[in-house]
Amino acid sequence: MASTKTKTIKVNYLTRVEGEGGLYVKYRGQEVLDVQLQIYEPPRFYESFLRGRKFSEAPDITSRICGICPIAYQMSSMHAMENAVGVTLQGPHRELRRLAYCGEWIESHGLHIFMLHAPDFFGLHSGIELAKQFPDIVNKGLQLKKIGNEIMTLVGGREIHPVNFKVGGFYRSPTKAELLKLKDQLVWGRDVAVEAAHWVSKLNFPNYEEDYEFVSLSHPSEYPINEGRIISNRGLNISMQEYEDHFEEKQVPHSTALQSVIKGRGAYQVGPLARFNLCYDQFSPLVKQVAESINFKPVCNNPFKSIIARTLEVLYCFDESLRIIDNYTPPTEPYLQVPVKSATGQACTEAPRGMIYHRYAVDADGLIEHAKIVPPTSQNQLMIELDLKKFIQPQFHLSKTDLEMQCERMVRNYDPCISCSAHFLKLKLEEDTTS
Amino acid sequence: MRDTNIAIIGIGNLFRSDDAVGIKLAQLIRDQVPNYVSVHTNVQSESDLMDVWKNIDKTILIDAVSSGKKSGTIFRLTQTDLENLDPKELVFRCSTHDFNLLNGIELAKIFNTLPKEITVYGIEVKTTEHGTECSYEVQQAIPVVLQQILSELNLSMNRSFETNLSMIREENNARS
Repeated sequence: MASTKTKTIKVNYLTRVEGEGGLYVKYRGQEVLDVQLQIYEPPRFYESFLRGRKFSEAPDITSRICGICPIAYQMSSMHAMENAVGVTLQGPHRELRRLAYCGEWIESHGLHIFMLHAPDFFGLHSGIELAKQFPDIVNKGLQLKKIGNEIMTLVGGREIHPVNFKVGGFYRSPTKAELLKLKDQLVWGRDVAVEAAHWVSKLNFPNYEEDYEFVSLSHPSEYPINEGRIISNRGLNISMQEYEDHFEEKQVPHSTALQSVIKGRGAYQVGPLARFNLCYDQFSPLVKQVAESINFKPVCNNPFKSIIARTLEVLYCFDESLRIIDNYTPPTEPYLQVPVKSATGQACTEAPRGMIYHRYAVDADGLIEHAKIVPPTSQNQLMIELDLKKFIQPQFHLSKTDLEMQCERMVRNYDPCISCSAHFLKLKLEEDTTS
Repeated sequence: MRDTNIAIIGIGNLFRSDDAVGIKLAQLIRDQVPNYVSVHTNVQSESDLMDVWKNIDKTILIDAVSSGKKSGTIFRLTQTDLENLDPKELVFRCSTHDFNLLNGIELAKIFNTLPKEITVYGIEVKTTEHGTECSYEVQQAIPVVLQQILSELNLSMNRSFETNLSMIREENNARS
């Protein structure tokens, strides 16, 4: 007979995720009563302290939101500012930004695949333990990450919080010779990424699937990184400027991060698995060939297999970086002039862990009046909680330690960046008048 | 011409008061060492450590420590000490994202990139709150560690270096 006693699982500090968060699960017998992904990283007030700053400062300020994915914030803020005043970057400017973003995807995915996520599939507690068992692939994985960092350094001036991006372009554009210096490493990295895709495809995946609504950008001629329309597998197809008509953020008491939902529908998933499922056709021929050889094709509804999608994206980024470098001709000027005027602009780009949305209102002097930033982890947060609820329900026969580990595994599928998503929490005090 | 390459690595966060001590020490020593000694203050991950340690024979790491001992206490650990260390006993304060010094050393061992000789200087912190100034206790430890590292490298202080040290001492005296 099932126990009727209420029990809780508390993971006070989630490991192998970016930032500080915990997990709370309350259950009775075989029934899950409550699941909370508790993001207690302090609120960071970015949207507030952007107010009153010059529009041109947004990329350097928002870059500080994350040390792992600063370029996602820089790109989104620059694109939003450019959207506000009707400037569109094309040619080498656009290609250079895409190259820098490829660097960030390689760096961020590389860290997550080899140091944070893969240990879960062997019941190990750290990347170090994994390295002891698989020194060759982990060493190569760290080298991949390093190449990603080098791309970011070359285009962005430095790998963490790059300084070379500005609204309208770059402070300095690299020469062709400088980019070509990366070529040998990129060719090596591409080969290793193929090897890594085969390695991750052979991991032992839990048998779990969910009928997700996947959301990502979609571009007619390229895998979505910089821009595109927002689409989903349930018929969403809107411009980036329509984002707030279809998505809203809700505050929950247990988290300093707001939770995003699709209006009228609820939770959704962004990130590598969403992009893979929605935009597979835009992968390069090499990536498709490797995906077919490991028998990993859309649609995949198993979040644990996000590690395969992530690895294919690493491969794509090496391939795409080589394409950009081969075709690169430096721009005549490193940046375009951007007019100062009162305007509002929005943009979405694809951060490594999913779509990110920025909106800014700027006054006639170019000062920011209002800022709104929706990072990917806010968007995945509710889906993570729903997944946890469903995933652990049949597993209550496990020991508490094993249950905790299973819960953490599910969270890590999403590569949450908790530091990015911790926003200002609005407090509403309500007096309970019932007796 | 020496045939030994040495890397000095200062680890920490410049904006978390005493956590910055490793970087501050490395910055002080940077201009005082010959060209076979490289000084690094931007090591933020295990792979950064591996990179720095390529072709390095001897390395000195300087980091803040939180072990419950008296603030400003100086630790000097050799490789043997590190191998026998209980990780729970001595926590090296390093960046977030799960990187810490002991993990870096462990990985380097696995990948065979660990220098032949490794020494870690740790300075017990008083506070790691937001701020750019080290506490008085940690400030006092700075010149002592500097002298120890120079002696370890058989280097003598140059004049500007001595001036630096006297300035630190004067500042400490003024604060005490």
